[in-house]
Amino acid sequence: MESASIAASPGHVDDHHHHGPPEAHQSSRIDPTVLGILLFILSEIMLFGAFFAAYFFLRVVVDPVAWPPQGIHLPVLIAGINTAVLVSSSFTIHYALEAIKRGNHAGLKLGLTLTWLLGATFLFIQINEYIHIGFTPRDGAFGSIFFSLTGLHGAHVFVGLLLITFATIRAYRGHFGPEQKNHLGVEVPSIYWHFVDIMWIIVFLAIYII
Amino acid sequence: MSGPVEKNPSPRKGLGSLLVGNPFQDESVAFKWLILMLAAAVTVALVAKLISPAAAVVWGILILIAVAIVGVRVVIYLLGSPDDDDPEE
Repeated sequence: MESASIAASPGHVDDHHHHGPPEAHQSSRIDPTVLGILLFILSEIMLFGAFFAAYFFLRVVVDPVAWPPQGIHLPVLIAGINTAVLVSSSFTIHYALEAIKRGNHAGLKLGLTLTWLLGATFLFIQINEYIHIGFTPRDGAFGSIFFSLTGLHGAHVFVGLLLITFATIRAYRGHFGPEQKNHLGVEVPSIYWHFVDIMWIIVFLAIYII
Repeated sequence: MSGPVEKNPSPRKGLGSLLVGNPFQDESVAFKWLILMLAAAVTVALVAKLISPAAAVVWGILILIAVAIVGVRVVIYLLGSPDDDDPEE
């Protein structure tokens, strides 16, 4: 590797133009930016994993017979509709990306706008659910872990919405193009959005269904 | 810098063959993962309703283990080995 040879031979001709420490050794199989996204997603999986571990630990330890505790009724139907809303947003953002790959700017704008609206709807319904659900994070272990897990996910949806907001504004300004290097600003938020959707599917199953 | 980076490398065996490509680089592959997880979630929900929540947890863990095996294989393949970059070997 060239970077290795630079480090091994101080008299290399490139040293005349190279400032600072030698360039880091890297794999030829993965781009450094992709490796960054990979490590970020892995750390996010571990973060959610810690919360899931806490959830199932509490579920087993607190009272396995009554979970959720008596007097608490989760709005499964509303959460199911909310799940459909969020999953739909993955389809619309996928449509947006496929559109720009074909040079369809109108499709890109439509897809991103719909994705933003669906994501905002999800957050609105979740906040409304928090207001009317009838218990608070102070109401026992279930209340704590319910708001922690769904709140952690909601925070990720909020961050995803911010990314999609930037992408949408750029789309309306005509920033993106069909080549991959010209629509990375849509592709990277899309990958993050799919990750957030997958996490919600698991959160929904764990809390509302199982 | 190193040489050109291979695009979308991935193992071609087993479940990985359904998800050819790199989900961290290609949105289409990430979308396929979403569809796969959605289908898996439906089966977990069905097990929870038809059998029991405990059985659904076991089934869900089995699915996550299978996904983790594919994921680890993809990551190992992506990262490669320093030997891969040595032209003299």
